[in-house]
Amino acid sequence: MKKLVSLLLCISFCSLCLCACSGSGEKARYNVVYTDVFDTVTEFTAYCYSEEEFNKAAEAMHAELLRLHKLFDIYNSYDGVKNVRTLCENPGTGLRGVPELCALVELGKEYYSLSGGKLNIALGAVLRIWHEYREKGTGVPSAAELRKASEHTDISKVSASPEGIVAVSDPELKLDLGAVAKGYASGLAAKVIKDMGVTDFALNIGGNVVTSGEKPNGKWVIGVQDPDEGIYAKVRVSGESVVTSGDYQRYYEYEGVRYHHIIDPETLFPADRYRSVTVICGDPAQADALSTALFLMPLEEGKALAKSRGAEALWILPDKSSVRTDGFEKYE
Amino acid sequence: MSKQAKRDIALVLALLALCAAAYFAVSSSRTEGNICEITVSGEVFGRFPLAREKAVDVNGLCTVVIKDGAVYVASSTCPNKTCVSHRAISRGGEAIICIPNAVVVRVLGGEADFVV
Repeated sequence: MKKLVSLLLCISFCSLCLCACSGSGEKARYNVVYTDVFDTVTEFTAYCYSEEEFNKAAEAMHAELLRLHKLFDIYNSYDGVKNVRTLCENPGTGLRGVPELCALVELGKEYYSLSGGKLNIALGAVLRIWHEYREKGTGVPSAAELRKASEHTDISKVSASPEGIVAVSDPELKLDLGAVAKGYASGLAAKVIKDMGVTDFALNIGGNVVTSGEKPNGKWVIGVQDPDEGIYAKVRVSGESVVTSGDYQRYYEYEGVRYHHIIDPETLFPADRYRSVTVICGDPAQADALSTALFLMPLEEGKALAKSRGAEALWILPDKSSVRTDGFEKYE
Repeated sequence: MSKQAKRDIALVLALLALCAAAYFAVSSSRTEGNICEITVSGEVFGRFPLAREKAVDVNGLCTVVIKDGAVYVASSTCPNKTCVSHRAISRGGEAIICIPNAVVVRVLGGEADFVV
């Protein structure tokens, strides 16, 4: 009997220890949400030793996102900030001293050729029209209206020189960096977080997730939204970025038809090849550009592009069946 | 049975009960189940179990309704009503976001950290 008692005492002592240990000296999970950058929601989750450590990293990261938000803003001006709006309002003169804008324009131009012209950061004049209708939530732009605007979407009129000067030579051309800005910004924000000493985190800027390290119980788990309801697939990542472009992210409905925000530069109407495309890639800027490019490209061409960039992808088709690149499964 | 043996049994039972209590305390704090969290401008407004039907007035900005294990935004003062047209959500990681009012409704728990 005594032996039994001492054995049980041992077991209970150990289990009490385990219970107690899990609560102290380890990293805890912290979370914060921002709604003031890139017209979307930004969520930052990290494992830190203290709330103070987390808050410091979050504040530095948020400040960086606000800076980039202002720089890439196409609609608003800010005191003392030269941004995309400044550039479009002063064609010809060009902007100097905006290295991030320069890098982003270069990335956009690269993806214009990689996607066979499907991803076009010079499509702003057309996207503006769709933006207005989406804000009103009613009506559909006429083909003529869209065609007229599309005369000012020639990307060769946009230049980024190695000296760091960005210029636009068509006064009616409007840049729209929406397809690439969030992913690029998420990469810079992740760098700020790491510089603050935080290594285990996931940052989600409106569907652009960048990850680093792991959780105490394993990799970060990112759900791929089912376009209609619930979760379609789950991927486990540590250090990779996961980005989805979907027809359910920004849209309005008019007379029973859904008009979403990813516009095909050929038809000038929302692209309808897929419900969504999810990309997993080591580089957050590439992941974002790829997800939009693949959403607009035919499947086989898209597969080849993903492969050439070392990325994996999941296409959800209109009938809700799906196609994956060969290596996508290893993340599931 | 001797007094000693009875005391031993009582001690064993007490220890077992303590273990069980500790186990449940820890495990329940780890699994959040289906709970929705509402934040306004990044501050937590409240957390509500999806199992209980409820209509929540969020600072006069919008009305969040919990019904049939899911949560949706029934009405909102925002101009675009994107949040109102969003389908009801119920899975961990899913969220409804109202940018103009800075209101975020998200489902906690589940396995996914984010849903994209």
